[in-house]
Amino acid sequence: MNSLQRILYVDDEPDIQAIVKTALEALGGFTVCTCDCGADAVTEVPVFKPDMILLDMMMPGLNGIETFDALKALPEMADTPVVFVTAKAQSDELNKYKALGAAGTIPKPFDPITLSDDLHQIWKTVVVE
Amino acid sequence: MHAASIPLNVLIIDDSEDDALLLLRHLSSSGWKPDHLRVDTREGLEAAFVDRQWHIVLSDYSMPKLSVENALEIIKANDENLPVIVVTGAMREDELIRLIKLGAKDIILKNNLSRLKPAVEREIADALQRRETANAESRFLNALDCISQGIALYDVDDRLVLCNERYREIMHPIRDNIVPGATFEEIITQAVRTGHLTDPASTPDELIAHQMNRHRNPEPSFEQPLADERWLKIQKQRTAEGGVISILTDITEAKKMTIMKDEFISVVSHELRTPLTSIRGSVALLELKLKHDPSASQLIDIALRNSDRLSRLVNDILNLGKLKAGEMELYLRQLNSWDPIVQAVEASRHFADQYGVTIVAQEPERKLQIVADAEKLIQVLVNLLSNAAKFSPNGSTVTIGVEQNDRLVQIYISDQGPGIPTELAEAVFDKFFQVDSSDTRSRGGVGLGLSISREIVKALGGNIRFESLPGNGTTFFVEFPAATGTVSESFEEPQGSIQQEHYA
Repeated sequence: MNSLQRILYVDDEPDIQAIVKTALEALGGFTVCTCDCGADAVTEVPVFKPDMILLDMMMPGLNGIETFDALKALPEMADTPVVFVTAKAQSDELNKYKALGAAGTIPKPFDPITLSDDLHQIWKTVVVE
Repeated sequence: MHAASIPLNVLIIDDSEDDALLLLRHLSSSGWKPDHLRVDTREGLEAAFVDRQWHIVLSDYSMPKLSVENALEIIKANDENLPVIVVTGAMREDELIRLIKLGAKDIILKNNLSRLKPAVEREIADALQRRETANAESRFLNALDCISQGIALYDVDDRLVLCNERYREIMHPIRDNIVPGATFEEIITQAVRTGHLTDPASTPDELIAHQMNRHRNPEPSFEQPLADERWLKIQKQRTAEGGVISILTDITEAKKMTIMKDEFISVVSHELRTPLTSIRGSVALLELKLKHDPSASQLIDIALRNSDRLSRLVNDILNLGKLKAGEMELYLRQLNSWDPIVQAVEASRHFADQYGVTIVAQEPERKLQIVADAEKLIQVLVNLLSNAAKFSPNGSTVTIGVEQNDRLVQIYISDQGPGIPTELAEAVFDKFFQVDSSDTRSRGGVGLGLSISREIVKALGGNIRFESLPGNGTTFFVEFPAATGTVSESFEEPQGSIQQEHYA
């Protein structure tokens, strides 16, 4: 598998999109593409070809889990890890997401300074597998 | 006063006018002023009760048109407390017993009419007594029916003595089974079998056993959902005779309010987290860019500290909501009470330093084992230690330690602060409570810590309390039953979804 370079971030909040983009590009040196909703993400994935997808759980339209299912149906997505971003980061929910097939979970509010490192950590566990 | 002034409404059932006159003469000479009606047919007897009240009935035994059995039946149907004396020529003993069983109050032989006076006097007095008792009972039942709660009284054999209409209404699917004499077990079994009483967490048999147990060992109160989506609060109380009074209160509305409030808190909290994430994130990134500009970094520090404070508050509210809803996951295991103390002191030291307060931990001579969730207990102790530090004078000491007192293991946290006034003893555990409302600003808390701590300790099956002398500091105690393999019965069962590990 490649190194972690290209990240697609899906969130309906433009402010948080901007923060994540700045943090991951400036501090992590990643190439970041952002999407406002699940439907956009589904069309963007074949074009952008991300190494990893960061997916907000609470969105209007397709919610996080519905988007996850739609993404997983894409042929390009076979090996692409999806990380869930959620404000409902209680342990029972974390277990639920893991069972669904999330590569990892980033709880909200997150620290943008350590976000790049957190993603590298999750990437490591996925590559090892 | 002469007895002749006493009027007597006497109904005479006799086919012979002469016999009736004889009886009336006897009554008059005994001091009554009889006002009478003689009947000797079924129709006549029925009509006698239209618009008339009788003191006593004197009935012949054998009449051509009306049997004494029928007469007794009709009288009972019209006025069950009206006494009937049968006056007869002669009677076999078995017939006499049969009449008494049918409801005749006395049998008087015609050749011994001297017994008539005392018998009538006695029966009128007895009837009066019965009527008063019946009136009192019906007044009592009427009063009970006016109460908005369902009330049922069970005797020492668990049989229903009486209940009010509201009780039957609440138990409406089985109201026909709620009759005096029915046992509580029969009633509750019906209620569960028809699905009226439900509990998703247990089987019908378990629910019946649970209800029986609560009935036989009355405790203050418990809440019970019904199939029709209503909620009951059920209170049981022992009576002096050893029976049980069961009081049902419909708490559906209150329950709805609580659920709405919890949902509201949950939604608001989640909505608060999104902007907080934006603020926290953008300020953190700004800090990286501006860390060399001292005037900017001070402002950024203020923004960061306050957004963290707001985050903590949102988390606290969410946690409290979860605790109240009994949804917090607990990992209970036997542990040495000293270990969480050490970790809590470690976690609180930096905070205490800010207030110039020293934390002293006093290690006990032996290991004192308790059953608890270590992480949750540490959270409670950290909260109590930071409270103690916050409210202690600069340069003072906060002491934490653990000791065994009888069957309780007590963790204590003592400070040298201003103390808590006695009248606020309960209120300090309330949400958003501050001893001094200016504390919110000066000490940087919102008053959720103790409320959360108490909920956690309760969920762990322990107890939290404090002793305080105003001006002389406060000592908080977190108490658990000493772990000896089982949890002491005197403590509440731990609540919430619990994953219990085997004791070491």
